[in-house]
Amino acid sequence: MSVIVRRTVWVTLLSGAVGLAMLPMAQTQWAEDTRASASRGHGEGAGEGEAPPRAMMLVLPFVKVGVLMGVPALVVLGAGAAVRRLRR
Amino acid sequence: MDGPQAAVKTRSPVSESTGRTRTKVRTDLALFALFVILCAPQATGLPLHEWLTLAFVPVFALHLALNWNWIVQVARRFTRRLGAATRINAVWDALLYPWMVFVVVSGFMASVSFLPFTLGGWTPDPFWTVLHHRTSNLLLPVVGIHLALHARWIASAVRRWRSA
Repeated sequence: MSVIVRRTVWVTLLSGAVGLAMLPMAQTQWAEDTRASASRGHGEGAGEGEAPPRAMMLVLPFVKVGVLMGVPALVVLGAGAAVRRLRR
Repeated sequence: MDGPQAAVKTRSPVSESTGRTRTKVRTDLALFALFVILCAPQATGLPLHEWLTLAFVPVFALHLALNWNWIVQVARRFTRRLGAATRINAVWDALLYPWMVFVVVSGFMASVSFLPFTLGGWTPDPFWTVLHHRTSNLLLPVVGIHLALHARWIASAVRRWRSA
């Protein structure tokens, strides 16, 4: 087994363990409150309004991904360039 | 000596490094494409969103495995001399890893297709559904910043890959 495959297996197992460690939070009071508020919110306004056209349903989620990832990335790139310019 | 064995033995460190870079770039491209598709469940539908996560998990683990040496080196040198940019990268990556794991785990716990199919009678917990939606939306800017922080490496790797 190559080193990369072995490391990949280890990372997967470690991530599984990290994931399992997160599961008990579903037993907390906070989880109960979240469930209660989710069930209260369910149905309010559901089915209201017209569904957007199919093409928009395919494109808009990717636009959202592009904006939510792209804008912070551009801000960081701009900040990095500004810092480098100031240091010179 | 002929054949692939000879090719491996006579491989120069430069071509080996180029090969590793090529593997990293291909893995990262696959990871990025899968991530973008997974972040648009309204476009793909929930069943594809959940089943594609099964492909995403090993590629994500491979991404970490391929960068393992960098992770270990930075972790060892973190308390000693380390450039500010590398330090910021390391802190951001340390935030991103558990976040990504949490989004994947909460997604599995909120599963409406994969787990009901594999474990009959599975009902998703609304707690995990709410948390999955919130944390996955916040994950997008975190990944965007991760890409920006590694932009120089990405640009040079793509340049090396194309010139090879």
